[in-house]
This record gives sequence, structure tokens and C-alpha cells, in this order.
Amino acid sequence: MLSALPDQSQFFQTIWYIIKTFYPIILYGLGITFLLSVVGTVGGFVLSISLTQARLVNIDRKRDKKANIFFKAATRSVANGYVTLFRGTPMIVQSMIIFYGISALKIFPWWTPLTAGLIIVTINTTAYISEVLRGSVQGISVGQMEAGRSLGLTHGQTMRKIIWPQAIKNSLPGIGNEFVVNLKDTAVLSVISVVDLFYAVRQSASSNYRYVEAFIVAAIIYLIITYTSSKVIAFLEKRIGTVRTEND
Amino acid sequence: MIKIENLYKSYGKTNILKDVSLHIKDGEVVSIIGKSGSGKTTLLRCLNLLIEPDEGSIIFDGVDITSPSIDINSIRAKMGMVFQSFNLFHNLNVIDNCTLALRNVLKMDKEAANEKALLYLDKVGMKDFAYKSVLTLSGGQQQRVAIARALLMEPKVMLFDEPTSALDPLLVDEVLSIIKSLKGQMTLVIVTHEMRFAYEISDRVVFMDDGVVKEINSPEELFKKPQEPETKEFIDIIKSQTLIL
Repeated sequence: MLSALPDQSQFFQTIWYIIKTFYPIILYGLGITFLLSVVGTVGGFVLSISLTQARLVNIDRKRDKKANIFFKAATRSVANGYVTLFRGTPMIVQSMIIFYGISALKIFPWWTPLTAGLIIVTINTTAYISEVLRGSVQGISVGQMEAGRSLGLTHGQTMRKIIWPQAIKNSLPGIGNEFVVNLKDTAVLSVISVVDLFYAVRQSASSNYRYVEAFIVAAIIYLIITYTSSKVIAFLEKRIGTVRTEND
Repeated sequence: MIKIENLYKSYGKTNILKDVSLHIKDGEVVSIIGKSGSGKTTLLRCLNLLIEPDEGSIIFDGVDITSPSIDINSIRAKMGMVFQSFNLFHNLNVIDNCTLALRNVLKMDKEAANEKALLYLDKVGMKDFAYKSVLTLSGGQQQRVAIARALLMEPKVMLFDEPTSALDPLLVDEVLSIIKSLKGQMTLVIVTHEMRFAYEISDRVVFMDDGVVKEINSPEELFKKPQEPETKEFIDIIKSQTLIL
């Protein structure tokens, strides 16, 4: 099945050999890397809106009921704690604890390395995007909130209709950046045997010990996908960022 | 209409408002003048509780709006506010800026809100810009839209917070003439540095200094025969600057 392994000195031939021989598993790994990054970034973005809203909750000490103030303050603390925890520990460590911890419980038949990986990258990205969104919300001029409130809109209405749409738009470069970071950082999920690009390439080299050549192939693929993604994101930002003047 | 009684506001150890009392009658035009930092903007923002006063009461239409049990949003809907920096919603076009509160606070349907908004935009000469992005407008145009947006709620009181301070001098008149046209239709409270405008439009002028209302009088009296030394000093400076010009 295998063509002959080139000699140690035949660098380019070895690279070509690895691509030719192992492209099915490498492409599979590349697909998983994309899946992890897309699910992590999209899922993280959706979840981070609620998380950020909880962190920025408006407490009106004069008008809110005591129980409500307590509830809001507690939610805010939990949300802030979540961000501190997941930004403050490496994803590789989170992966070990979450994957093996839940595996040991033996309660979820669907708990595989891949599903665990998807969940881990999502909860991790949620914390990072929440920081991006928090910065954007706080960066919106206070006059926007004042104008909304002065017209009789509630704090929640002003957030939903005015502040969030602007903050999300301003966050797009940061969220796009998280996607690019995820393309690379999901490599750590190979530690729990998720067959991503990194894992696939390591597998490809395990029988022939040509790790340098194999990981040069990995580096080139990572570079191509991150570079291309950055360009696509920059193009989308430009499209969305243009001022619409007619009937928008 | 509005009775402000013994209002205090401080930030840390800095006292911004010290025992401010002021009664504004229905339909009256009151201008608040004074040096920067004298507390005039803070006083104006206390009127719709964008700034929460520490002590004192504000009676609007017979109710104390500083009471925690008051639904402040319904009060604010009756008090329009126009800001120095316009504060149009950047994510919405001109007409959506105007209809947002109509639809979400007054629960008007989209068609009726749009129709009403076009009527008011026409009054401020901005109907042709209804579907433009607010970011393409000049300062004067933005402020005219902001005035229309506030007027659409049919407020009993309009609060103007230095409405022309951020404008190119050539654009000031287009905004001031709109504000002048409102006289007689509703109560106007105006914080301004435009002394000629305050002189021409006001029924009474309030001079504030260091967080205190120093003098309240008709524009004629206050500008020509100021009673307090601080008022006189302020008016003299204004006059000397006008002479240089």
C-alpha cells in the first residue's frame, strides 16, 4: 500500500511522500480543526452576549427591589468568575479536567473526544469574546444610552436596540481574530485525542519518525488557513463597516 | 409645572449643586447661564434624572419624580432632551432615530410612526434626509433631527443642554431659529452660552455660580442691571468679549 519512504536526506521528497500517503487523514484533521473553530467561535459569540449582559447588568439601587439587586449582583459575580476562570487557565489544562472528569462519571454515552473538544473550545471562546464585547459595549459613547433613556426607553430597550447593535458591529474584528486564534489553538485538543489537524499529522509521522517534515506540512496548512481566514474576515469587515446611506 | 426644591448633588467631596430651588411655570422659557462648572448642566440633567440628585425634590406635574416609586420612563417620555453632542443613534438612519421611541415607548405601529416622523422632519427641514444614515449629516442637520426626535414624543417640557456649543458658528442659527419657534408651545429650559439668544427668547434667565442659583430675573434686568457682583462680573466679561468682536 505504501510507496517507499524516501531517504533521510531527501527533504522535499519526504514532504511529498507524507502528503501523498497521508492526505486522507490530514484532510480529515483539517476538517475537524475547522469544525472546532467554527463551532467554538459561533457558539462562543452567541453565549458571550448573555454572559456579557450579565457582567454589565444595570443595578438601580434606588428603584430595584432588594431581592432583585441581590440576584443581579450574584449573577454578575458568577459571570465575572467564569471569565476569570477560563481566561486564567490554559485550554490544555481545562481539556484534561473536563474530558477525563466527565468521562469518569460515565453518564453521557455521547461524550467522545470530539464532542468534549467542541464544548471545551466553545466555553473557552465564550470567555474571550465576552472580553471583546465588554470592551465594545463600554466603548459606546455614554450619550447613546442617555439619549435612549431621555426618550423614555428602558435600560434594557436601549441596550437591545442601540448599544448592542453598535457594540457587536465594533466587535467583529475581535471576534474574527478569535476565529483565527481558534484555528491554531484547537491543536491543544489533541491532548484528549481529538483528531484535528495536529493529531492527524502526528499520526502520519508516528510510523516513519519523519516528524520535522510532517509538521512542516502542518505549519504550511495552518499558515494557509489562518492567512486566508484573516483576509476573508478583513473583506467582510470592510463590507459591514461601510456607511449605508440609502434606505438602510 | 416644575418645582425644584433644595436640590443637592455632589461627586465625592465636590459639591456640584448646593441647595438649588427653582420654580418654572407652564409654558415659560427659562435659560440657565453661568461659567463652565457652575452646575447648570447638572441641574438640567437632574430634571429628567439622567443625574440622580442626592437630596431635594423635583415636582413635575404635581408628582415628586425623585421618589423611588415613580415610573421614571413615563416621566422622561414627557420631557424631551436635546444634547450638546446630538447623540443620534449611530446604528439607525434618520427616520428610525425618530420612530424608535414612538414605537417602543408609545407603542405606535410602524406606519403611523413613520408618517408622524416625516411630518416633524419636515418641520425642521430634514424630510429629504429621512432615509439617510445619521453619520452623513452635518452637525446642524444632526441637531435638527435630534430636536425632531424629542418633539415627536409631544413632551410638555423640552430641555436643551447647550444645543449649539458643538456647532460650527455658521450652523448655529438654523438650530436656534427652530428652538425659538417652539416658544409658546411648551415649557423650555435651556442651558446655553449663546447670550443674545438667551436674551431674546427667555422669559427669565437663571444665573448660576459655583453650584448656587445666584440670580433669577427677566433677561432685560439680568443682562442690563445685574444685582449680584458675580452676575455683574460674568455679564461684564461677556460684554467685553462682544466688544472685541
